[in-house]
Amino acid sequence: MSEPVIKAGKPPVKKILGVFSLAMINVAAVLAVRNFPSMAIYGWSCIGWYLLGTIFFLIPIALAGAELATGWPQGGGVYTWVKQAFGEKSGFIALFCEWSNNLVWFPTALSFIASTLAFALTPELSASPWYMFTVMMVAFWGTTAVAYFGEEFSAKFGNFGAIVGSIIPAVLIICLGVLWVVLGAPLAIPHFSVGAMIPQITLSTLPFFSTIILLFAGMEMAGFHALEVRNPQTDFPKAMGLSTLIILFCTVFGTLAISFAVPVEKLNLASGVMQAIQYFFTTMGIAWLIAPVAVLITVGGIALLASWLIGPAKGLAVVAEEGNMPPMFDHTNKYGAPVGVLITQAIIGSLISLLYVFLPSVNQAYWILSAMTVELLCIVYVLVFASLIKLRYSQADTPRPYRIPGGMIGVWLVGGLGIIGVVCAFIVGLIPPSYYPNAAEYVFGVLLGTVLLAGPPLVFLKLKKPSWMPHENHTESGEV
Amino acid sequence: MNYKTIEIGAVILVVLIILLPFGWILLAHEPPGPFTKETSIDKIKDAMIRAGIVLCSEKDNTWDVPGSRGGKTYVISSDCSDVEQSPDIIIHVQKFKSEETRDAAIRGFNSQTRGRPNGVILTHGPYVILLQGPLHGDVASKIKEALSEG
Repeated sequence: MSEPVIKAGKPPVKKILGVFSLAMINVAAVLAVRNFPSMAIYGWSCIGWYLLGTIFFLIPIALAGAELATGWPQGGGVYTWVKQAFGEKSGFIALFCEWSNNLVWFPTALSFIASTLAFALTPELSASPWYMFTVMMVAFWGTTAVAYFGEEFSAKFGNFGAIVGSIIPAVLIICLGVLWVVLGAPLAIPHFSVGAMIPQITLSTLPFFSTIILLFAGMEMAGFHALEVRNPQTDFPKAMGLSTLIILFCTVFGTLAISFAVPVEKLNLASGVMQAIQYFFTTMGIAWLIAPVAVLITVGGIALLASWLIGPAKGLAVVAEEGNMPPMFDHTNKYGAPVGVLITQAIIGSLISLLYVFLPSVNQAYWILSAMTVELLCIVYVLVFASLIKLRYSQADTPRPYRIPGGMIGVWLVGGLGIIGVVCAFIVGLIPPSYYPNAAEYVFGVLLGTVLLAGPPLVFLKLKKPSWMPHENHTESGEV
Repeated sequence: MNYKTIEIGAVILVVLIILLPFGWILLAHEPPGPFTKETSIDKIKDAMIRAGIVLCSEKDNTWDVPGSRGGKTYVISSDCSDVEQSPDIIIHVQKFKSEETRDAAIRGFNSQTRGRPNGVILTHGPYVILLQGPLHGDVASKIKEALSEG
């Protein structure tokens, strides 16, 4: 199982990932301390919202990912899974949606990294577009450079980032929350009651459901690294279970800790997680810890970015390797990193970040972009859940070392819950904000943007040429 | 056309397709508005009242962000007697000392997680008006309309 995989014209793929590394890829992709304050606003009802996200997305995607990754551990993640079920075109579209969604998301993730780092240095820096753009570019191209040095280096970086930048700050916040309660400090939220946990589901809160679903997006990220896993059949299910537990524990209790200590008027979405932590830590008398925690959360932001930057890029490299994209995308270096895809992604992402920083937009443009990320990810996940169900019929005999328990009923239940959750998120993602002047224009804009960002695979497949099939060495090392 | 031309053409076409939504966003871009507008927090509060919004409570509040000059936090609820238990919407009105710091606050709001933002942000001169909470309803549009009239 630990023998390197050798592909024609490619450097050997080393089997270096175990349960812990795989779990950390998912933790790095999903667990984000920056989400805690925006959920803490909801007080006890955040538990209900998280429960909805867990039932309709987190558990289904973890179980689906475990079964699909153990059944088809050839690498490529969602591309391979959807391709097996619905063919090459659908697989390519699913993967491209995941990748192009990143193009919209990168600037916001980079902006968070730059402003959090500014908090540790001099908060005033965050008002300078030039500071923001410089740090964003250093983080973006630096993370691309990490990816350049291949899986082994990326995995170590991801492990470090997930532990130091996500798990440690989350556990620290949870411990302080426990201390807050134990010391008898006044709670910033009303006393607990079962009714308080139930979220208000109304027409105007429905759009929030899509946000909850996407809080856990990224659980499939480990699947992109299947080729490098030592024992995919046993390691994937364990890693999925471990990462789900870590993410759920840290997210729910981290959010509650903040809601216990920070009054709701101090939790504003424009200032973000560091201001909530500043209030929390200053009240606890540990203000000296604010800057170090800002650095840790910056590291967590970079690990999150790296996880999303590397995973789908590796998937696209697999597509290119099969001759579905021009050879420039099939170009890998001596470390096995997909250089062609990484560079293209970095250039496009840099251009979009430039717009993001120097054109601060109040509402309309941002709403449309945000809605597009929802729709693109929903397309990916609907296809993944549908593949899970379809493959149980079309490839019933393919060995799956991990099978979702309960036979076909279990698969339909898991896939069905996932599809219901994701389809609901897709539909509510199309509901325009109340003050948007023209609802039809909004829906048309979001759908058109989504189609354009999901459509390039059709162009590539239409223009596909036999010369795109790999038949010669494209590695920088010049060795096979 | 040889294969190389097709390959380059395919790449350019795809990059253009990808950038098209962003170009369109660029055209639809709604700038935050003039910073120097003559206004005050009382005028904003009056506009909210004119818009029929019932403010249950009001507190002084200064954000811990660069350039913040303080402001107010209002809570609105369908039941003001139970506002501590179920605040429906929290409205922050915060003044900024410069256009750069005001726009940085907008960037901070925009850099939330994936998906739809859990709130709505408006600007009025040097003020940032942030609505957050489970029920946004048409409160934001009412405020926007009242501010543009007044």
